[in-house]
Amino acid sequence: MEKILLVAIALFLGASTNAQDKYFTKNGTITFDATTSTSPEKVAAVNKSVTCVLDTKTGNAQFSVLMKGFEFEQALMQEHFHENYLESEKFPRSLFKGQIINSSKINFTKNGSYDATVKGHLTMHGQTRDVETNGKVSVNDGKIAIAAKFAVLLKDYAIEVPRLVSDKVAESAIIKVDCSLQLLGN
Amino acid sequence: MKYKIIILAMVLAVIAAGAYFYVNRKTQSLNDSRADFEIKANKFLEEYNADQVLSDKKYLGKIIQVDGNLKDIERDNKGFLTFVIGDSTSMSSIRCSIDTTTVIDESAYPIGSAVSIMGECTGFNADDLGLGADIVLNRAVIINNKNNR
Repeated sequence: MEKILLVAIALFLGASTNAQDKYFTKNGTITFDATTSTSPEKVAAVNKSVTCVLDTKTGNAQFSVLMKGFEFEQALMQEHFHENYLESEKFPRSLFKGQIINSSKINFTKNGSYDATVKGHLTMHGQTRDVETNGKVSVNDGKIAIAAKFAVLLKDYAIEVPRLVSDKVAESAIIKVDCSLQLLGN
Repeated sequence: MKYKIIILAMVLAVIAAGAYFYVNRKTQSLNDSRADFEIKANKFLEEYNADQVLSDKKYLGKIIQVDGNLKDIERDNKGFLTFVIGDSTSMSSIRCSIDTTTVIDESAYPIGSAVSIMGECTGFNADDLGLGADIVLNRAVIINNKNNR
């Protein structure tokens, strides 16, 4: 009986330590910008409902992005983005699974701004590619903010831009990630 | 002959103006839109949990009015508002990202009250991250607050 109780306590402690290492948000922001110097207007969209989970113990980070959540200022651009380029109904979700590879150098319990290197796989438009980028991790009174910026070559993800508009849409889009995370379980 | 030229010029001007407004039209607020579907929050989650592919075919990109209880109101560090509808004992919810062009007084919507919110369905995040499964509505507008009627 005592053994069972000990195992139960150990499991409970194990589980609670685990939860304390995980931070999350469901309101993260990702912007997609494919503006070129010859674009007549900004080719940029924002998604404000990005889900992200970060395990501060292992540095593992996962992002889930519902593609239909990308909003453009111009309706026609948004229609083209979802219907022709990203085919958001066929590929409704993009995923990133990766790791902050220098997470051991980041003190997630001490206020400050830390450089982070993230490495992982990004799946978008049905294609999976390796991504490596530098970003920032900011710790402020128990809250963790992560920010990163990287470029994706549209061709790598089988996103075809018609020749007619090819001078107005950049070949590689700048992806900006901005997430404010809170402790899981709070 | 002169009239013909004037009429032709006017027709061309109307076509050009029409094309200009079509290309440059802004994304409209859903305030004056009609919902494609009206559904209760728990039923909506049940449908998505049962078959995501089928539900995506039915709801993705459509305007949905969801009726349910307000579980939480979240304001992020950029000021963006999310109204969360669902059962407070469950981790799964309908997350309504409020249209940034509308100003909302959050205090008019007590947690636990019945609300109807309309938004564009952007899909379903299955519970693969241990955070519960959520349906997300974008550009959401609040239809009414039944407690305040």
